[in-house]
Amino acid sequence: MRASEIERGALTEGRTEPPGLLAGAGGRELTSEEALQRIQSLQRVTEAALAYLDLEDLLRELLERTSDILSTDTAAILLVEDEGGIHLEARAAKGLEEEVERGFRLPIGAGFAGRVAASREPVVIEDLPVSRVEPINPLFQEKGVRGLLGVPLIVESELIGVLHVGTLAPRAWDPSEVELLQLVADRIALAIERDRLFERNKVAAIFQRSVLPTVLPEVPGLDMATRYLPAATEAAIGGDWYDVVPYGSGVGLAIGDVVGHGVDAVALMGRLRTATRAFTIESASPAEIAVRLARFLHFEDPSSMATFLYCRLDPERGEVTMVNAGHPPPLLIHPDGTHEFIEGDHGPPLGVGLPPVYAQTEFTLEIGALLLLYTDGLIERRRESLRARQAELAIAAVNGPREPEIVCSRVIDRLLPAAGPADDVALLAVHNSGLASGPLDIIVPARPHVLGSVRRRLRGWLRQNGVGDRDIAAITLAASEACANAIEHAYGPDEATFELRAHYGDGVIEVRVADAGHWRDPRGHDRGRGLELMRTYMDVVDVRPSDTGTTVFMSKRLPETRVS
Amino acid sequence: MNELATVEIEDVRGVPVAHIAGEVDASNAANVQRQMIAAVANAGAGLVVDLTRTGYVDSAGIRILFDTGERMQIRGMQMRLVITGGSFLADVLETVRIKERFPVHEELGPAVAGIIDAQLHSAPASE
Repeated sequence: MRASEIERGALTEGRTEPPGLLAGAGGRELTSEEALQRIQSLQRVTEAALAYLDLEDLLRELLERTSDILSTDTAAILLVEDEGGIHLEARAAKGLEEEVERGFRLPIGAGFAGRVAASREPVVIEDLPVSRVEPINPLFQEKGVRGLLGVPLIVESELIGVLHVGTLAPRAWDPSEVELLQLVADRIALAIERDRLFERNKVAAIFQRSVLPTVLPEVPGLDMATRYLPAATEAAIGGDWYDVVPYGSGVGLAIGDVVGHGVDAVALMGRLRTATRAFTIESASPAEIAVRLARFLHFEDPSSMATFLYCRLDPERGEVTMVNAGHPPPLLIHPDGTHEFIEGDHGPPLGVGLPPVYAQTEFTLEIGALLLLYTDGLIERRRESLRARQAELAIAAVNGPREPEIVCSRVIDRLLPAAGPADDVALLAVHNSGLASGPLDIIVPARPHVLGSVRRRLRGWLRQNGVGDRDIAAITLAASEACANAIEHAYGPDEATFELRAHYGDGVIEVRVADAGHWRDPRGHDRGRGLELMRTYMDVVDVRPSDTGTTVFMSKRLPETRVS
Repeated sequence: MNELATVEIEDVRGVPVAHIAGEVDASNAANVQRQMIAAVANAGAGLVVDLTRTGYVDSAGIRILFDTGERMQIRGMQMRLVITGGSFLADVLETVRIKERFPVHEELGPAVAGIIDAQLHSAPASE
């Protein structure tokens, strides 16, 4: 028999069946008024309003109320803080505040609280000096604590700490009080666990954002957009990732999902991403990359598993070589609007079976076509078949402009709840806009954050046309100023867009920026300055308002000798 | 969040230097300005804004430069800029005549020295 049980046995000896919560001392029936009070007092420690306090305040408040309800002089919470679960540490106390200030620690199994922790059972002491418990905490003696009642804090059968209350006079604890304290302890344990989870996930979300690429490389002939949405629910920050790695004349597109959640999954994802970049730079084929990555994953963490999809894309020919290790099939939208999910040759996820062999699938991303890579958080939903969700995804992706930024926004809007996805979601959209130096045509949402990507694409297009660096900088500045104006003038409840078209012919670059709003007179230095910059760096700047919107037309003649 | 620009604050001989790397436009100008202003100590004599690693600045970026510099002048402080000579950015800032309002340097050293000088001259002549 364990020590605590002996102790309990000794102290509860001679008592009849332990009465329930609503029974009074000695098992007598409570009056209805007393019963009502008990219920009300329990509600006082489980009020929803408490959920909004931070953990320290919440623990203090709960101790205050607990001690109030049970009419005790002291109350304290000790938590298992160390990795091995060997020690308890005082976290919050009432009447024994010095315990927390002094950073009181005791090994599990020793002293009063240690005994509660070791037995995972309530421990009841009527009068400490005459009990068999040898207290370690000197405060019990200093303060003259005599009656003690302690209960374990348990979450999912794991001990996370101890809650105890004490009195300065000897006290014969009523079994209903033991039960009440255990209920309070369960509530506290849950609050602590929730707080810890929240902290862990907050860290994971920040970590994930810092590990994923925020600026995509400029690849001539390709327009790309990405999204990462962390899970809306607390426990589901995962290891979803994507990457775009340029090499030689091509580009590697990667997307994956590390099984598991939290910081560990994110950290492993970061290592997989780095390894993928390294293998890409070594010009390994997609199948080789998958095999090497499987080996790498096995080396890093033999118990883990990850899905992985990788496409090597040659923008000049539009040729794609894909390898798929257990990942959802990408969606390919052809220039004519028809679509298909590229199932190809599926291999197992990385980490399942060694040595794996992966086959490659080849297809073409024609000029005007769009390829959408995504993680399962986008399409998985309970009580709905994957096939139905894939159909929904295709409809959302196909119907509307084929701008990668817009496609990503549209897909997220249509498929995911406004409150955010249940699991995290990563998206990578790649549009083959064509390497040929045809006109550039960009339609994007009228929001400031698109400016950077519009400039990136305009620069890429200008470079393809052999425009020199100085002229690229000048034209980009003028065009971006016009775009900033279009964004500033976009209003209305609907999501507005604006269009930038650029054309090159006969040594002249023409840029048009059209929006559906109306320019206001330049007010303040800022807008005047924007117009001044456009006029400085372009030969012609013409602002043409119409009933349907405003178009800025600009042109610039380039010097005879082009620098590429 | 896609941050186009990063602002790194460095202390050079007691003078705060804001190194702005990346692109400054309407999407991030306010954020960049907030970080620049946070670097200015109340008692200090000024701020050096290092634009040698700034790839792009538009009218929104120019506005925060003027605005930050003017706010500092009101408090008796100086803002000095460091710009790579002959760069496109130097040309843009020439266009908006920023030199007429704030000292512009091509190297960090003289910009910092300028602020330290100003500090010495504005100190009360108690000796």
